[in-house]
Amino acid sequence: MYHYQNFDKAFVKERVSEFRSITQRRIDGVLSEEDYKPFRLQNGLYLQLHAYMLRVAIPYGTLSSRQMYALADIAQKWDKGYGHFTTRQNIQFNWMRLEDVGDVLEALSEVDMHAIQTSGNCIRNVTADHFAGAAKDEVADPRMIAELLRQWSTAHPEFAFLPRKFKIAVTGACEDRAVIAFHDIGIQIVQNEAGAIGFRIFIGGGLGRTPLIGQELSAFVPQSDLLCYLEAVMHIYNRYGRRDNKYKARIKILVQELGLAETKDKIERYIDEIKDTHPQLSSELVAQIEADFAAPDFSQAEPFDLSEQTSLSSAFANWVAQSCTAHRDDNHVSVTISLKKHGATPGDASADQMRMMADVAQRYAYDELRVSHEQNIILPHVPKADLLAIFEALQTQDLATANIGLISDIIACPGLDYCSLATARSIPVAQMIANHFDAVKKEHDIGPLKIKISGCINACGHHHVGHIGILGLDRAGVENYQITLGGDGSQDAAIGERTGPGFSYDEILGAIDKIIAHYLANRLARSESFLQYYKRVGMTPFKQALYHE
Amino acid sequence: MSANKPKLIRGIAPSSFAVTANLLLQGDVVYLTMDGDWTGDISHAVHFAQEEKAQQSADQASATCAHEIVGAYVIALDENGLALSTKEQLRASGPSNYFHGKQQDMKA
Repeated sequence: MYHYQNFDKAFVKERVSEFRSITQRRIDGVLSEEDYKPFRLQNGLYLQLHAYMLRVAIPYGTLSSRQMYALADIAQKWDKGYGHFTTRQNIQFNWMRLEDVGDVLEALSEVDMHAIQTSGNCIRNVTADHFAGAAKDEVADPRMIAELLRQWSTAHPEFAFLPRKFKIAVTGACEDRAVIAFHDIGIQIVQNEAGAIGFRIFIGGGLGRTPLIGQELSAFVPQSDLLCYLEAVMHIYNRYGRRDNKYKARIKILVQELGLAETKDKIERYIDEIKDTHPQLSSELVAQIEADFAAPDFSQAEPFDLSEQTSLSSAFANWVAQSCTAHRDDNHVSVTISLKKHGATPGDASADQMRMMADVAQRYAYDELRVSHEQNIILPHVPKADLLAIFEALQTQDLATANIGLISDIIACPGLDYCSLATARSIPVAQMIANHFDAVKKEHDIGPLKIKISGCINACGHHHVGHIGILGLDRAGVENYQITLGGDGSQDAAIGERTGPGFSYDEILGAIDKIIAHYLANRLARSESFLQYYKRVGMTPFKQALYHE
Repeated sequence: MSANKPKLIRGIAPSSFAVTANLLLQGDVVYLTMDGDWTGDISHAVHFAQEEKAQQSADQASATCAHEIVGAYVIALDENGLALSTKEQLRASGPSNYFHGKQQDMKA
């Protein structure tokens, strides 16, 4: 993984010092809150319902054990003993004290981390496929490009005050696990007929109050031209993006208003202006970054037959079936550690849990961890022979729930329990659903199903792309939940369709239960997934089940 | 339609109003008291019969207590002096996902 150079270290230290100095001026009364707020937000510090929340950047979701240990120490020393992993592959600490934040940023800087650009109208943390470098279906490792974009976009003076926040995701695989169609810019690494690596670029996707699927801006941008191309996209957005209405300020609205053809024309004309002077991506820089992401030596792992171990323990067999994903090396798998124990807060991990995951990564998994946008933790490279030891270790910290990809593996934003923008709770709804389907022992029978819950229209819980999406709203002080069906964040991108009138907090579990009961009673076979069933029958029978039975 | 008709929250007209904010240093939720201090316990908040009076106190607090609090604003209370909206109920009691935060602090 990428290691800070002296330049990075000096830059982050300087920012910590600046944060301390300016925050002290606020505490001393020299700066008003109005003047201080933009500054603290630029450093990832929000004031939420109950306390300050610090959002820490985890570039493309990649962590070393050392960094995970440091996050555990921060949770224990300065928070209430836990952290919350987010859909942007970051971590949030919900209970910060303003007077401690300088020390927290200092502690982060010791392990090459920071909270810069995790808020504000700038290019946010670049996300990537959480199986990067491990996936069997990968054309190339997307972390190299994600790191390049991190370096390019961090403190880029032209893009510090964009019309609105800007999100980029990268995948190097055919199966889209990075939700690239719903980003301001989505990048898919592709190979052309000549075998050259390049980039398929999507633009104008997004969730929020105006969900839109990104459109293909270019089928193939050569590697050497990537930064020039993206710089042109950003320039056109910065120049023409609306600043009069924050709800219409994202690039998706610009693309919608101009049309794809005109947007593309403006971008290409700007590329013509700058291409002769814009520095090309040098092969030396690419080689240097690629070296940082060199794959571990997988040859040490021996072939291993798991059948004897799985035959002795159904719990282990179940966990292997649910949590392991095929790896590019046949003697390894990728393991997804569930942060969704039934009834727990999706994405939360205690300091002890973080330490256990760091221990396991250090001991068995080449010292690497990833945060997935689905709010779980990934061990990307695990020798099959070590799976049982890992399972047993994770069990001691309630980290071995075998529910990955099932109905209780729910994405939920912090919602009204923490977030000052939220209009309804989302975590307790996730808890209710997970507990219910665990109690009735149906979740394995139901099979693959993605429920995503947002506590407001901003859609941090990605409800638009949930197979079942739940959106919490406020109706005159009362929580009300709309349901959408058929959303899909994968390469078959789709925006969920609303079922009809919403449900109260007390009714929402019953509504989900009706949807599931209808699916179970009517699917062709167990092999027909919920999403396949929905695509076959459409909305009408679900409406009937929800509102007329 | 009367311009002064009170806005219903959860179908209920507010009985009174209070002023709330977050502490600058700790971020904790606090309420303005009768003697001009700040308390974490909503049951100790000063009640205003009129929203306009509460807003004047919030504005005054923002101007004079900027070194102590952030973002003073008015909330509606029911006849028992409890917050009416779900959001303010959660601010008063702490998150509902599990027992921690303000509820734990107040029990201690």
